[in-house]
Amino acid sequence: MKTYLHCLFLLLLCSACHPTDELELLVEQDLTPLFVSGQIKGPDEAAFSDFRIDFSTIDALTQTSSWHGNVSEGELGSTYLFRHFDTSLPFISSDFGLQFWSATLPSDRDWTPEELDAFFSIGTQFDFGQGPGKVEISLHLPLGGPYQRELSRPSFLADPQGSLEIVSVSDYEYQLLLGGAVPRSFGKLIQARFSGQIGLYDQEADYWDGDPNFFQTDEVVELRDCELVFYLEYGRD
Amino acid sequence: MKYTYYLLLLSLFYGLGPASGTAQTAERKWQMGLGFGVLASVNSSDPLQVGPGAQAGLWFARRLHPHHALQLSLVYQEISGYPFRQVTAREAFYPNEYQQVIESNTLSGLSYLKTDLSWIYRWSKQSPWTFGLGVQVAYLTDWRAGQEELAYVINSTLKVTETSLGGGQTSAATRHIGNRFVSSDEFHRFDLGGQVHVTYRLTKGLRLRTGVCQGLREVLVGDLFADHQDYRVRYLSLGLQIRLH
Repeated sequence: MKTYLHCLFLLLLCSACHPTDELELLVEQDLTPLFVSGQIKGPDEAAFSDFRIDFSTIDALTQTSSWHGNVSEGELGSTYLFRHFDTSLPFISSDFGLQFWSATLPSDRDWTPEELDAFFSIGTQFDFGQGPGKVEISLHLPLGGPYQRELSRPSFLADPQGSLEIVSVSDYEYQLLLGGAVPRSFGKLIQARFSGQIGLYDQEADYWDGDPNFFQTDEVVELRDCELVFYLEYGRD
Repeated sequence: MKYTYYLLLLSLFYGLGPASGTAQTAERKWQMGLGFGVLASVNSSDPLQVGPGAQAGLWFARRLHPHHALQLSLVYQEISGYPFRQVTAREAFYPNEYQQVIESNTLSGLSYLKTDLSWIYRWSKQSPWTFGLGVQVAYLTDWRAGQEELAYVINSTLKVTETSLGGGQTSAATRHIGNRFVSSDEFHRFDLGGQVHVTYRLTKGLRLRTGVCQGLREVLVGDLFADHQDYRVRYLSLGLQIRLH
């Protein structure tokens, strides 16, 4: 009996000295809800088809996407230009863009939250085109490739039809880990709806190499029942 | 574990001394002594995974009947080798920043001060065997747990204009966000439990004791280890019980 107990004791002791390690791995994702979706019909297509571009779905470490918006001085005055960049795309990094103009707001500084609230207030409507009161929507076509060198825009058409309406505005903020002294970005998520026409860019027909002031086309891409959510940064603190 | 061996050897020699001195000690109604032992904690989710531990303490016994006794123990125990290691990878896609945060939580050990009250049964006066059944209250005095966060971040501060991209930069870096000690808020400090044990008399005043203990309360409160929320202390014990009086 003593021998048996001694063996049991040693067995317990040995097993206790070699615990097995266990690793629990959980993966969580936080996606910014920025996207554009709707229905699209190319010039050679008979029917509309659904499309959606999420602005935060790339998960490779070296291929990420980013959303930028800045005030600057454009050809037609003070402008707020937005671009989404997708680094996984070949030879062009931006796949979607928005551009607004103001005849009254300055171009040499960021527009204040009050100015932005008024500019993007719910119910405001922007017609397709260029200049104050209008919006230029840029889309990388054809969707899914093979990609053209430049983005297609309403202003490539002589008389673009369509409009964008601000539907809702909500607060949004996120913590920056590389922001240094400015660890928080805060602003608004703007939800908009739009339908209309954009001119299809064709790099083979582009004598002026993508300059939107010169390229013109009559090839119309129809957009219908589109929804857009984009981020408008008010500041960082 | 080296120390456990030394303690066992020490207790073996010491336990043989006073306990074997007089035949009257077996008749005493009150007895007291020391106890040492090793533990093997058993994971709730995988019974084949065990972690080492050790315990030491005092015990007091009151004989109620030739076959029955009550025993009260005060024990300090360390349970190590917890196999709890959870790595959480959190990806965040924000408008200007991609973040991959790796959070690593580890729990390597728990220390308890516990008291237990057991009913002891002996078949006959000559039998070397006793059987015990007890309840216990344990207080978590210490825990060896940590949390570490690392982040891989791509940040972009580019400025867009009609004709250019500039005025900023795109940068990528790995950042050590920090370590932190896990606070007591993550644990239930008090635990109730039950135990079953058997002793075998090796010689007068020295018994080999083995038992099973099961805590009733969950060890963890928070979500430090999401998959171990229902973990309760459970261990096998094996040790020596030395009678001093």
